[in-house]
This record gives sequence, C-alpha cells and structure tokens, in this order.
Amino acid sequence: MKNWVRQSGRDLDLQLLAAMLLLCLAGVAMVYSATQIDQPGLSGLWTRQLLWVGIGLAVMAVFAAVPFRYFEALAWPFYLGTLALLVLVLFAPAQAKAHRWFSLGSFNLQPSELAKIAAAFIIARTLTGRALARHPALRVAAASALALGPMALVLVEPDLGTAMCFPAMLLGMLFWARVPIKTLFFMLSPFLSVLAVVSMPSWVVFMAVLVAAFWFFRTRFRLAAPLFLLNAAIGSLAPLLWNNLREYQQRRILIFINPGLDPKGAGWHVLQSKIAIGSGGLFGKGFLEGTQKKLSFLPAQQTDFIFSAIGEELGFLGCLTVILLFGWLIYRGLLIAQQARNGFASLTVVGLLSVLTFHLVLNVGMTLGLMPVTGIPLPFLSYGGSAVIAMMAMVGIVLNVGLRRYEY
Amino acid sequence: MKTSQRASLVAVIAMAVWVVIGARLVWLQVVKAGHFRHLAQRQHQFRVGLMPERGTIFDRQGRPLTFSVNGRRSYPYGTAAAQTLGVVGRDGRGLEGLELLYDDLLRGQAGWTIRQLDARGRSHPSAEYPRRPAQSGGSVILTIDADYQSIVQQELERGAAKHQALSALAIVTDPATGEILAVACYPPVQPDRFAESEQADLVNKAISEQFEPGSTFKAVTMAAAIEEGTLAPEDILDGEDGSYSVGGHNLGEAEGHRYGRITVGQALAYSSNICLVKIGERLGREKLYQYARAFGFGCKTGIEFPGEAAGVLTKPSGWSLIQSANISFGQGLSVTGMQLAAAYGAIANGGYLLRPRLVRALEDPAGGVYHGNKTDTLRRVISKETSLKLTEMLSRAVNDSLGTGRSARIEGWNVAGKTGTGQRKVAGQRGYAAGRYTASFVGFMPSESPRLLAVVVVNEPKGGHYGGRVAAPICRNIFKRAISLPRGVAPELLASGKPADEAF
Repeated sequence: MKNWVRQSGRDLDLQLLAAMLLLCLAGVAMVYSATQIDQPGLSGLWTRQLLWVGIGLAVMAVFAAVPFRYFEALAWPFYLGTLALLVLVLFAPAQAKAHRWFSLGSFNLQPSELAKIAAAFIIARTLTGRALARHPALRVAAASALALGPMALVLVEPDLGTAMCFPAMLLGMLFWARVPIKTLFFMLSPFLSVLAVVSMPSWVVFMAVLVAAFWFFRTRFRLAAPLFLLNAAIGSLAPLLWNNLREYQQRRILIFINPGLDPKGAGWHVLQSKIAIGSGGLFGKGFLEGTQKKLSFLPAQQTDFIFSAIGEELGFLGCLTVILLFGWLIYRGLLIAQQARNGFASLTVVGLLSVLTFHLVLNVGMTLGLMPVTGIPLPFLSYGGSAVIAMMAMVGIVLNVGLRRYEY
Repeated sequence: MKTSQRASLVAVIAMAVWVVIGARLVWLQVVKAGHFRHLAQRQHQFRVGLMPERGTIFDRQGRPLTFSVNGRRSYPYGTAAAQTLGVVGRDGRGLEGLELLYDDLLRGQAGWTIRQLDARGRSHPSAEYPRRPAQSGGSVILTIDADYQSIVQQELERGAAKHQALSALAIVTDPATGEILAVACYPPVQPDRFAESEQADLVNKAISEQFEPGSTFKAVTMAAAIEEGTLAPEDILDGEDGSYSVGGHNLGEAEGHRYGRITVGQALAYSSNICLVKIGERLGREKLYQYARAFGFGCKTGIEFPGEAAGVLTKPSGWSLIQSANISFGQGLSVTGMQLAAAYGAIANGGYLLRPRLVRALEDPAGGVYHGNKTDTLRRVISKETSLKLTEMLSRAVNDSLGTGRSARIEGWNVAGKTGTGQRKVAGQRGYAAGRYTASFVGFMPSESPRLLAVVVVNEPKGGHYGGRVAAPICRNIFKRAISLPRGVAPELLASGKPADEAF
C-alpha cells in the first residue's frame, strides 16, 4: 500500500492536473465576469460553478482511484445502463425544446455526458477484447455500431453537437487501434463525397482520388466496386435531393454551414462573438471590462460563448493561453496513452481525449466563425454542472491510466 | 504502422488544428482588431441630443408669464395672454405667437452626449464619454403687465360671456410710448392644453383679425378735417333730420336717431353718420385716404408678432360716391384692433403715430440684453392742437348726457372715447350679414395727459349690439380696476410724470 502511494506520487501527471485546474479556475472567473451584467439572477452563478468544480474534483478522484480493469469489466452494464437513460430522457419533459436533461431539483443530469464515457469503455473493450480478434473487419463494424447507437439516440433529443462526439471518438480510437488508414479512408469516403459534391470539379477530383486509393492500396475488386458505386450514387443523388428541397430548407442548410449568410438571424451570434473577440485586440479590454459582454451583445456568454468573453476581456494573449493549456492537457494525455501498456486503457484515454478535442475545436471554431453553431460547451470553462463534472471524470480516467501505465 | 508513428501523425494533425485556431485568433484580434473595435463601438455607442430648457417670457415687472421645467411649459397666469405668448409643440418648438417669433432665442442650444446602449436598447450610464451640455434658451421681457393682463382678461371674458359674443378682443396700451400693457382674446384658451382648442381661438385676434370698424373710424375723418382746417369743432352742420341721399343711396342714423343742426363736436359725440358723410365730402376722398394711411390703416403696424393683418383700405380712385361716404363713418374698410390702438394713440399723445410694442427687451442666455426699451415713432400725423381738439371732442362723447360712450364714464376721472358698431361680413356671402355686428369702443384716460388706452372689440354680441352698450362698459370696468391697482394708474408710467409730448 505504502509502495503504491509512493509510486502514485511519482506517476500522477501533475502537469495535466495543473492544466485542468487552471482551466477550471479560469472558467469560474469568466463565469463570474460574464454574469456581472444588468440581468437579474445571474450574478451568483459563479458560486454554483465553483461547487461543480468541487464536486468534479471528488468525482475525478473516484475515477482516478478505481483500477481501470473494473471499467473494462463493467463496460457492458455501464454502456447498456446509459443507453437506457438515453431512451428514458426522450420521455423527460422538454427543456429549451429538447429532451436532453433529467431535472433533479436544481441540478440537470445530462445522460449524454455519461454516454461518452460509457462509449469509450465499450469501444475500447471491443477493439482490444479477444472475442473478435480474428476478424478485424467485424471488430471495426461492431465498434462502429456501438458508437452509432448512442449517437442516434442523442441525435433524436436533438443535440447535434453532442451526437457528433461519438463518431469523432470512434474515429480517434480506430486510428489509435491501428486500423489501416485505407479502411478509415474507405469508411469515411461516403461522408467525404457528400462534402465533395458541392461542386462538379471537387467531386470529380474526389472520385479520382478514390480510384487512385483503390489502385494504391490494391483494393480487391469485390470491395472496391460497391464502394465506388456507393460514392457515385451519393454524388449523383445528392444534387437531385438538394434540388428537391424547398428554398427555405436549402437556405437553412447553407446558413448552418456558413452563418455569415444570415447576419441578423443565425449569424447574429457568430457576428457578435467575432466582434467581441476582435475588439478585444492583443491585450483585451481587461477583466470585467468587456463592453459587448456587459451590454448583453454576446449570446450565451457564460455557457457556449464563454470563449468570446475571454477574447474580449483578456485579448489574444488570454485566448492563446487557454488554447495552449488545452494543448498541453491533450499532449500530456496522449503521452499517457502512448505509455500505457494496457491496450484497453490506452484506447480509452484516446477516446476521451478525442471527445475533449472535438468539444474544444467545435466550440472555439464556432466562436471564431470557423465552425457551424451547434451549441456545444467549452470543456472546464463553460458554465454547467453535467459538462464540468463529466469532463473532470474523463480527466480522472486519464489520470487513472497514467497512474497504472505500467500495468498490463 | 506502429503506435509511435500514429502518435506522430496525431501530433502533426493536432498541431495543424492549433495553428489554424491561432492564425484565426491573430486575424481577428490583431489584424482586424481595429475593424471589430469600430463595429463594437458603433453597436453600443449612440450620440443622443440633450434638449435645452426653453427660456422664460417675463412681463414688464419681471414676473414669468411662461417658463419651462423639465421640458414642460408652465403658465403661472393660466389663460392670461395665451394668444400672445403662443404655444409650443411637443417637439419643443414654438408654433404660434411670440413662442414662434422668438423661437431661436427661447429654444436655446441643444447639446449632446454619448449614450451606451445594450443589446435590448436599454441605456447604461458611462461617465467616460465626452458631452456637450445643452444651453438653456434666452428670455423675452414683454411690455405686458401681468396685473393689467389679468384684469383685461377677466373683464373681457365677463363682458363677452354676458352678451354671448362669438369672440372678442381687448388691448390696453400706454399711448405715450406705444407699449402694450395687455392683450386679451375671447374665447380663452389653456396654453398647456392648446390641442383641445379650436385653431381659430389660438390666433391673436387683436393683431391678426380684421373687421369693419364702424364709428370708431369717425375720429380719423374728424381729425383729418380739423387738421386740414376744413371745419372747426364749433361749426354747425345740418343733420338733415336723419335722412340723406348719396349717389342714389339713402343714409340714416343708428337707432333711428334724427339730428337737426348740431355742432361738429356734437356730430362726433352723438356719432351722426350723416354729419360725418358731409365732413368727408368737404374734406375730399384724397385727403380722407391720405389721413387714413397716415394713421396707419391699410398697412401693418410693425408690431413684433407673427401673422399680423394689414387691414383693407383701397385706393380712393376706385371709390364710388357711396363708398367714399361709407368710409367717412367707418364702413367699407377693415382694420385690426392694433391699428385702432395705434391711431387713437396718436390722437391721445399729441399727434405721433407710434409703432405698438410688445417686447421690452431680449436677453441672451448669458444675460446680455440686446434689444432695449425704446419708443419707436413712425411719423407725426396731426398737430398738437388738433390732437387736443379731438381729445376734447372724444371726452364729450363719454361725458355728454347724449354721448354714445357715456357708459364708459368713471366718477372723478376724465375719460375720452368713441363707440363703434360695424356690420359684419360672412365668408362666402355678398354684402353684410343681417344681425351680425362688431361692437367696439376705444377709450383713453386721463384726457388731460393720457397714459392708458383701451380698445375693446366684441364680435356678434346678442341682445343689444351697439358699441356703447356692449363694449364701453367693458372698457370702463378695465379702467376702473386698473386705476385702483395698489400702484395706481399705469404704475411706473405715471410715476415718470412725463407729459405725452415730452416723451419724444
């Protein structure tokens, strides 16, 4: 026991922990700043956020302490349990026109946060378990199916941003599980062809690349032919489908992709976010001094758009610090994944880091006008109990693996 | 591919993502920072005008007749002088009267401030922004005396209401200086609720409304004849027993009077139409016209007031015999109350036609006075002797037991004056309207050294339409109350003790 504690002291990734704590404290501070505005009932939110961080630390400690092989053993019940919750939540009363939360008094439990962790465990277990070791293609298919289950349920809530976490996690884990690049490419090719079909030249180029990939990877005909046909079908059907959409439907999709098309509606939030961040300049307007924040031009400034408030008040240097802290956290996480001798543990870490990165890129990209507006929180910084606690639990798991990196 | 290779690939991809985010941050916060700062500013900073407090209009003794508090116009004297002060619209601009004429002075200078507005359009104070405070308006000091104004207002209202008049007006001036001490119109209007009044009632009738004067004009015909030496007050005229034919038209006297041989003085005192026609015939239409113009009829008096009417006095070359006869006793031309006040002022003050004045001084916001109190003599119309003779004759009209103005008499004081009853025309109708009259009286006192002059005009009174019965009592009531004011007759005017002719 004494030995374990000493070893833990050595193997606990303090840098990762420090990066996370700094981000959490920055989050509390920015929630405080973002709520000191002329709106009743907001100014005390930061104390709640502080409470969530405290609870999150405890949860993190628990997830760090439990040996990770228990997670592997319990992956199925955990996964099925969260799936059940995801089904149940669809029957919970709607909040903000969506069935995402169970209301537990003053706390809203968001089962999709749990589902991310459960999916990481089950996918990692599937990709490393002995059951399908002889059938790599089946294994990939099974892992994909396990990711698509919760994705579909979350999509129904509806919560597009969170739903997209699952394929992002899957992709990261498959990549880390050394699934061949060509397999990943072919798996992704139908989605890529949807993107490529926006113009004739780009689609022709894409199809040429696909054919070149078949040749390069010496793909067998019985695999290449249906894939080619699938992509060709998408390429020719998508424009047909597009032309059959009503004009307002087309417009809605275009605005989702590029909010700048509708500066007074959907693009308003992005425009305001860009104004806040841009007007912050190099050094920012100073903590608590953001005019766009203070005057309520920033939307959801303590939740989804908290990065904009950082940009306005702390400037380019503040943004860069936050981005680098995230970068450092993810880097330290990847180091753990690389050093972990247990495949399940390593894959789980990568899955969770993929979710974290996806959140970060989507959220920051949204505030910078690079990504569509999907309403996904910035980890550790955005106000919200479920998200903060779930993210800290994930870090707990990463630390857990770090502590036991030499265990098989 | 080994795990370490995959890790390197992950590192490369991650780095690329971070570089893209970093580059975007540089683009937004360094390269385009100025642009976004400008956008932010344009969004929440608004230049807002600061409304100045409108200036005050004072009476001659420095009492405010109207002043502004927090953008609202107050009227301490209620309806008094409402049509003279005029009204101010919701936007703070003068719409009528002196408020309109001196709008530039009274309105002041608007300032501005920068207001910080939030996304919902609510204002948030911020002390850091520059501002230019608004500059309050200047003030106008009138010749009007609030005490006189209140008296005139009350007496006019009472008299007009008693006779169920359509409308009425009264002017009180100091004939020695041309200063107007009071101008009242009936029906009264509440200046702070002017929107509830008829547009016609907002007009200052004393200045903007013209009417056929009737017998009050006889004093002008008479003054011309005396000045020209055509007649002397003691000369005898034949009243033709109340019936006289001119150019095929039969003329008679009012109320069916019949006069035989009477003096020129009696002719004016009794207001004989026939005798005045005869005087006019002897004087000649050219002279009559010339004197009417000299007394200021047919052109604006030049008072500081918007929308003054000029009256109507046509050229004598176009007059027919009957027209020329009519003009001798005041029909066939129209005048304003203010013209009558100025003309009678000349008779009372020794022969000088003075520009009626409503404004004593203008004060700019810094306190500088840039328009002093000065008598403005337009011309000499008649000699001092003629003016004394006319005053004597007009005294007789009040003091003679048969004088038409006898109801203007005041015990212990010598009042001079002349009644008038003019027939009225109705818009869109030819000739005079049956049963519609303008009853008027012009009086001044004391006759020895006149310092108070009143014009009272009552339109369409019911039950006894003659000026002597309707207008003269109003004038008497005004005079009586004016001289019983604590400060006495025309307070500081009489105190100055200057005889009228020495004022020049």
